[in-house]
Amino acid sequence: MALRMRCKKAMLQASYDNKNMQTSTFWHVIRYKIGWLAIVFFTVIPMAWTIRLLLIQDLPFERYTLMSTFGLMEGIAGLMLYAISLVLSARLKFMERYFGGLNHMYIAHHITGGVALIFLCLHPIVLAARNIEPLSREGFRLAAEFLWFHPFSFERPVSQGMALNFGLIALLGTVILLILTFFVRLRYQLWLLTHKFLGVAFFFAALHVVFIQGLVSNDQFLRWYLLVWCGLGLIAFIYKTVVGRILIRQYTYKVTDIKKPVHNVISFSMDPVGQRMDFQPGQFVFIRFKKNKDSVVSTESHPFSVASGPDEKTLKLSVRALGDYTKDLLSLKPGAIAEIEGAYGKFSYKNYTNPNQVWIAGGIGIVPFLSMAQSVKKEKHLHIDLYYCVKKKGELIDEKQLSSVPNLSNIDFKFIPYAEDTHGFLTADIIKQKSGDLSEKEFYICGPPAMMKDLRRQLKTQGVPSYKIHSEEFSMS
Amino acid sequence: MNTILQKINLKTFVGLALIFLFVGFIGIFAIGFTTEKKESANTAEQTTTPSTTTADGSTYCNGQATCYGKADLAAHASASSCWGYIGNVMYDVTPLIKSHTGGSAPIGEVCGGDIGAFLDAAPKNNKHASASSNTSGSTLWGYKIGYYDSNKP
Repeated sequence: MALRMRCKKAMLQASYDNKNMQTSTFWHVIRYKIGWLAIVFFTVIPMAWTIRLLLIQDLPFERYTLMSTFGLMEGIAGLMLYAISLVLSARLKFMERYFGGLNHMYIAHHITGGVALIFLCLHPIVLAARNIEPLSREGFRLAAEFLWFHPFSFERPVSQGMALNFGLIALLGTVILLILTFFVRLRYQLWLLTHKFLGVAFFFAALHVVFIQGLVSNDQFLRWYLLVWCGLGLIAFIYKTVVGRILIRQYTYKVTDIKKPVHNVISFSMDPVGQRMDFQPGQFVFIRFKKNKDSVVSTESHPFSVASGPDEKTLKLSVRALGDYTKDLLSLKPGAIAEIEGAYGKFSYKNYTNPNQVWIAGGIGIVPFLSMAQSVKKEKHLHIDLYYCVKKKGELIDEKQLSSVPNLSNIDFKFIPYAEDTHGFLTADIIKQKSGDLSEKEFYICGPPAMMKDLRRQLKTQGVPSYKIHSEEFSMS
Repeated sequence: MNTILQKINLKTFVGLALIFLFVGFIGIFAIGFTTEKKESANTAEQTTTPSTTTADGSTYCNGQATCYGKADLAAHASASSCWGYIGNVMYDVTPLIKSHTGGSAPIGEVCGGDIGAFLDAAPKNNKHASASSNTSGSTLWGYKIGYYDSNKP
C-alpha cells in the first residue's frame, strides 16, 4: 500500500513537473513575443486614432480626404517605427526578456527600420498625389511644389514651408543612409559611422512633427503621443551614441594569452583588471580594444560569444577571421587592454527547463556551447547531444575539452563531431537516427545563417515546435 | 509559390518602396515643373512668413503663431487657391471648393471670406455641409493653415 502511494505520489510529481516544464517553455515563447506585440500595439494606436478622427468628423469619403488620411497614416506609422527602431538599438538590457535576447532585438531593429522606410517613402508621394486629378496637369504642378524645398526662413514662428522642409530633409537623409545599409556593402566601421546619422535624420523628422499644421497639430492626443515617441527615439539615440560610453557599464580586461588552434581562428584569454563581469553560459559581449601601437585592431565595438564558463576568472573568446575586423585580431598581442560591455543574449540552456537537449554547432558557432559545456558539469538530470559540424575534421577546436565533459560531469552528455567532407551536411533525419524522438527535445543551433535556417525548417518538418528551436543569429564580423 | 515567397524579403520591399519614391518624385517633378502656372493677381503665392507682429509693432491673433490678415485672404480668393475663415481660424478649402456640387453662395463670394456661410448654405445632400460654421477648428482637419485676424492688414 505504502509502495503504491509512493508510486502514485511520484507519478503525480512527474506529471506536475512535466506540466510545469511545458508551461515554462510556453511562457518563455509568449514572453519573447511581447516585444513584437508591443511594437504593433504602439504603432497601431495613432493610426486607429486617425481613422477615428476621420469617422467622427463625418468628412466626405472622397479621393482627397482618403488620400490625406492614407498619407498621414503612413507618415505616422513610419515615424513610430523609426522611433521604435532607435529605442531597440539602444541595447537596453531590460528589453531583452521581451524579445529573446539582444540579437533578436537587433533583428527587430532592422525590420522596424526597413518597414519605417517603406512607409516614409509612401508618405510624401501619396500626400502630393492627392492634388492630382485625371486629365489635369495643374495638380502635378501643385504636387511638385509640395514636394520641392520651400524658401528657407529662420524666423519665428516656423512657417509651414519650413515644416515641410524638415520632413524632406529627414526623408532624404533616411533614404540615403538606409540605401547604404540595405544595398551597399561598406566596411563595418564606415557603415557604423553612416548609421549613426540616422538619429540626425530622425531629429528633422521630429521637427517636422512639431511644426506641421493639420490633423496632428489640431488633435492634442495625437500630437502628444507622437511627440513623446519622438522624444523617446531621440533620448535612445543620444544614450547610445553620445552618453553611452559613460552610462553603460564597461569592464576592463587584459589579454594574457593568445592561441591559434586552427587556421584563421584566434582564441584569446583575458583577465579582469578590477571587477570581473558576471554572465550566463552562452551569452555574448561587446568588446572594444584600446588603441595599441603593437596591433592594427581598431577601437570599434564588436560582439563575440564567450567561450569560457561563468565560474572561471579568465574570460576566453574564440573568433574566426571572417571580416576585416576579425582578420585584424590576428595581430593582437598579450597585454592589450579591452573594454567589455555585457553580457547579452538569451541563448543559454539555463533559460529553458527541458532536460532533453540537442545542441548543434556549425564551425565557429561552437563558442557559446564551449561555455555551456563548462557550466553543465555542475548540473544533474540533463541529457545533451552536442553535434559539432565542421567542413574538415582538422577544423575542430577544443575537441579534447568537449570529449572530456562526460567523464567530468553527472549528466548524460554525448559529443558528436561531424565532418561534412566525409558525412555530408547534417540533417534532421541523421539527428533523429542518433538522438531518437525529436518532438520532446529542446534544440539550440548556432552556426552559419544558411545552416541554421535549413536545420530549423527540417526540424519543424519532423514535428518539432518552433518554440523549442533556439538559434543565435549574429553575423557581424 | 513557397519558393517565390522565400525569395521576397524585407530588402525586396524596401527596394520596391524606393523605386516608388524615385519614380513618384521624378514623375511629379517632370510634369509639374513643366506645367505653366496659371497667373492671377489673386492667386499669387505668398512668400513671406505669416507673422503675429507687424512692422509697426501691433500684435494680432492674440499672439497666436501663423497669423493671417486681409491681404492674405485677398491673395487666395479664387477657386484655384481658396482660403477662408471661420471665427479666428484660417482654412485652405481649395479641395472642398473643387468638389463643391452647388449651393446658394457663389464661389467668388466664398473664397477670401467667411466660409461658414458657404458651408451652412450648401445643399443637405452634399456631405461637405456637415462641417458647419459653428463647429470647432478640428472639424475641417487638414484644411486649417493658421489663425485669422480681421484687424491685420
